[in-house]
Amino acid sequence: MNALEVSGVRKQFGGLVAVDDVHLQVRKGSVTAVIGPNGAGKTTFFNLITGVYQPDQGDIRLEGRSIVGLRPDQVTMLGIARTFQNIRLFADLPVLDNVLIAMHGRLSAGIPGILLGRRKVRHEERQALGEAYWLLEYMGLAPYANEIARNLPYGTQRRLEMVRALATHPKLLLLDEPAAGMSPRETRELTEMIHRIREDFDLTVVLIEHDMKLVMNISEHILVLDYGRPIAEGTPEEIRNNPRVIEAYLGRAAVSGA
Amino acid sequence: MIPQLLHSLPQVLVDGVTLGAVYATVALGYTMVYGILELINFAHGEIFMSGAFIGTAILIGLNSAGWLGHLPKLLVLLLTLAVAMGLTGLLGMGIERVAYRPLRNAPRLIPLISAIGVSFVLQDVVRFIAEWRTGNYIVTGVTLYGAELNLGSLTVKTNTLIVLGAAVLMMAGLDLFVRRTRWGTAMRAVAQDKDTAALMSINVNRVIALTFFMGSALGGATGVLFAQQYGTIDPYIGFILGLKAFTAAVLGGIGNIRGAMFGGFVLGILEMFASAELGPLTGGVLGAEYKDVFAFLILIAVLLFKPEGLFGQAVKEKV
Amino acid sequence: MKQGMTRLRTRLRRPRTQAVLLAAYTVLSAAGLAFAGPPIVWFLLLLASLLLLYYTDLPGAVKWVWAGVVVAVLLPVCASTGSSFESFMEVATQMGIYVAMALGLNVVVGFAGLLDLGFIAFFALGAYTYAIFFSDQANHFIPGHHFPLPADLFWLCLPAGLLVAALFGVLLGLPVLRVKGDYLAIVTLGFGEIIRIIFNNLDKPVNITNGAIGISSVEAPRFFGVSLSFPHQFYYLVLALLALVLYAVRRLEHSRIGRAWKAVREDEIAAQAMGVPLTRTKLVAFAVGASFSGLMGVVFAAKQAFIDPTSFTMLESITILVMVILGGMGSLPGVVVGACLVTLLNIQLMPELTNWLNTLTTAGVIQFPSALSPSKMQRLIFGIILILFAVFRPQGMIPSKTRRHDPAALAKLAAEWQAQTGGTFRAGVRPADGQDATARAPGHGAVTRAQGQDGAKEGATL
Repeated sequence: MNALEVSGVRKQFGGLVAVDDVHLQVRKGSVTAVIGPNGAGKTTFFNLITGVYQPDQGDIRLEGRSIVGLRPDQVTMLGIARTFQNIRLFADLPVLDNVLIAMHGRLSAGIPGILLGRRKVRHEERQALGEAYWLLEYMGLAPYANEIARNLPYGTQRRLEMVRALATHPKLLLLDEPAAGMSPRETRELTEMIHRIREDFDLTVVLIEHDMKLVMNISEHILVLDYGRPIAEGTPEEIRNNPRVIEAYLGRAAVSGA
Repeated sequence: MIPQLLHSLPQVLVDGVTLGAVYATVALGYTMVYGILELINFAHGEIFMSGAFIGTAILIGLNSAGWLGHLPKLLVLLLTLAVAMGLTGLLGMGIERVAYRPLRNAPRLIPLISAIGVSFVLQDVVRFIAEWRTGNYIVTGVTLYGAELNLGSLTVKTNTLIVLGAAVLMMAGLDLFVRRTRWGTAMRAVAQDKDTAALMSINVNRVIALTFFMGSALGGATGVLFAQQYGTIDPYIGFILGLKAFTAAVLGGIGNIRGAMFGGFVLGILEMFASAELGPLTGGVLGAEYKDVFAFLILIAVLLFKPEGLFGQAVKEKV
Repeated sequence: MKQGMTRLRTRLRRPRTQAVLLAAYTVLSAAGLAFAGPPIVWFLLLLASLLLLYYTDLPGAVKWVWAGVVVAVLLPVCASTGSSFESFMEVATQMGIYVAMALGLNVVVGFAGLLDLGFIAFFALGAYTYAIFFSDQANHFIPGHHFPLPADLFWLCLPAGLLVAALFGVLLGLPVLRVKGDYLAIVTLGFGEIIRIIFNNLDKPVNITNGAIGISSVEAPRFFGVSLSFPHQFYYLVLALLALVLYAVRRLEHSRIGRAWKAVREDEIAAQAMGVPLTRTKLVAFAVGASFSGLMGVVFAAKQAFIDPTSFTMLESITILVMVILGGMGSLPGVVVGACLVTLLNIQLMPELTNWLNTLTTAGVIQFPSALSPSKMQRLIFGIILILFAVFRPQGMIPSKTRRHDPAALAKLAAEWQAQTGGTFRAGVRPADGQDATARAPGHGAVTRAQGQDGAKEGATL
């Protein structure tokens, strides 16, 4: 069974068709990249998968189960986590709380339990704190646990977004431009990190990225979007040599000149 | 019941359209500011109220100086409108400068809070001046056009025609301004995307100030007309009226100028209908005292079922 | 010299020194309240000791006990020596009621970031719940002469008022919380007015609220046969309820639910992406905030023995908002201080100032227009506070502090967690439906502690 199956998805905003008839099969445990020029509809595609937008047409299935029509929090609870292109941490809250919030759906404390200080609630809270801190240790963020998220350096904020995503216990991790604004060295480390978390947490990864080196290094499968439409799909090797892709990226002249 | 309904319908329509004209012009101020800043300018109702007091003050002043009888009425009206518009326009600009501009990048809650603050300050300052000068904060003004036309069961005040005419002229003027002039184009550009507009060498701050000036001037002028139409004003008229004008703006699709006008008229007619017919229709169980409730229910219904309004476009949030 | 300063500072950091100094201060101001005039100044000074207490480094439990002794023993006892004991207790009771309401609004505005401008409506609901059934008002629409209910049932009416308000919070919230944030402000503003209009007109067709005339001769509550009629009795009632409210708010703030509120406040889209259901989270905030307000409404009606719609205007809603903004959104000590200050300003300072100015005017010392009298200037003062704080200090007088966790304790918890779960969770071992949170036991992953630390090192260089 595929981890994610997207079939014939379309989304229109007013007169603009942002995503048009996109199909994608994501094999379990694989790393897939979605690439394309700016405004190609990549982030909209993520927003469709995560339930931020509802598709006008088509179906999206997570491990065989359709997730169309679900709210984003429901989608998250089914096992899709994401990071955001323009980092969306809970900026004025401590790092630890950022991670704990991502466990919201897995915790069960209700108002009576909290007010009465029931043992189950206290136990659950201790477990959550332990796991949150463990995850921070895992990503090397433990020293920042009490810091306000806003005050972290940029790259650290990106890593915190990943910790937060992992804390939801995802099966499928969507990364929206994880390498944006990173130095080549940071990008290399990011590549390793993605590989490691995929192994350790049994994840399937789909990422949007502009850094071609990262994309070619990391992904087994690539989908290219242009003006919302899929123009190519295949292995990195196939994509590298696809004239339509080169055209979309560099313009027609580059193709005829080459 | 039906014949009685039909009998009173013309009067309801005339009164409703007049009230609607007031809502519509005030709604323009809300919609313009929201369109450009995505901010509910809570103080707009108070700007309307200030306009009503400024106009009334001018007329009372002219009257006690004994000039009112000697000048042509139309000239007096135009003069009053012009002064009130100028002053309320500047007031609006000042409010933007002091209470909103420093907060443009603050969390969304914060400018709303300072907007409430501004509206409270205005209410109290006007209350103070009115009470100080006249001994009472409820003020009855000078009516310029007091005559009434009787057409069978239908009574139309001359003033009603003036209110309608002036409101329609102002709305048409604004519509032309926004669509046809360079400044209007700049306004639309800033409403679309402030950053890009700034790159296109549009002075965003100046456009926003102009928007506040125009919206507030329209609100102030409506205040003058309102005082003419209904005679008695107090510093708190802006609150409920502002709420309803905002409802009108939402009904027409917030940010949409023509929508706001349409929403204003719809709301005015519905409200007049409710206040005239709710009693008879429900056998006296509910009466005109529930007309404000009625307007509010419309607001909730629109927000629930068609939050983008009748003419607005669904806005997508940037993720 | 400089060395002396440093030594003094270290000395001051010691909890024991702090405790001694604070105790001295408290005793001094308490003595002042008991034996010297003017009482209001000493009263304020005594209250300020609680604020100082907040800033000391004493252990939490000590702070609570200390504060309890000050408000439950010291303050009433010292005030009782003066002639104006009951009027003092009346002021303190009012303060308590407002503090509880401000704490409720703080849940909505401060924690969840939802601007509620019709908060007083829930207070009105609580107040009418008590007033209607504990006077003969309910006889107008419920046949049989059952009302007023026996005053001993007051204690049942407290949770009833709380539930009614919470229920209406949910009913209003259900449609309204779906719309975008800024609309919420205006809809709640409208709602506050609507509730008032309805209470004002619900004397026909069936007389439920007695309309604008209001409901009078409401029963005084009875507690074990003792009828509560003096302000100091209500003071203790309010104090007890306030303690409950404070406890509840603190518990909730640092729980799963409180974190979800703050997440929604910070970023709705990110919160949803982290599995926080928006509407439900907001509804809970709305209902919790409303319930405190409804609870205090019951007390208010019982204390006043008379209510009419004029007590529930928009000005009241904004008054509570001013308390929250002034003190600091999301900050419990801030909100308490803000509520105390604004209440004092409203019912003590401004009337006294007005009286004083009037005396001067009658004595012919100054010509003071009555239009300018301070007791009429609430709106101006509140308006200025709102603008100034929004522009210059949105975090309020006492900004909220974040709770710091001890890293060593966290590391221990993390180790425990790892020992229990075998290191990490694995997506693959979860039940396929993925919805049963309890069934989703973490799997036995292969990641070891060493690897985790390895990751830490790597991360640090990244």
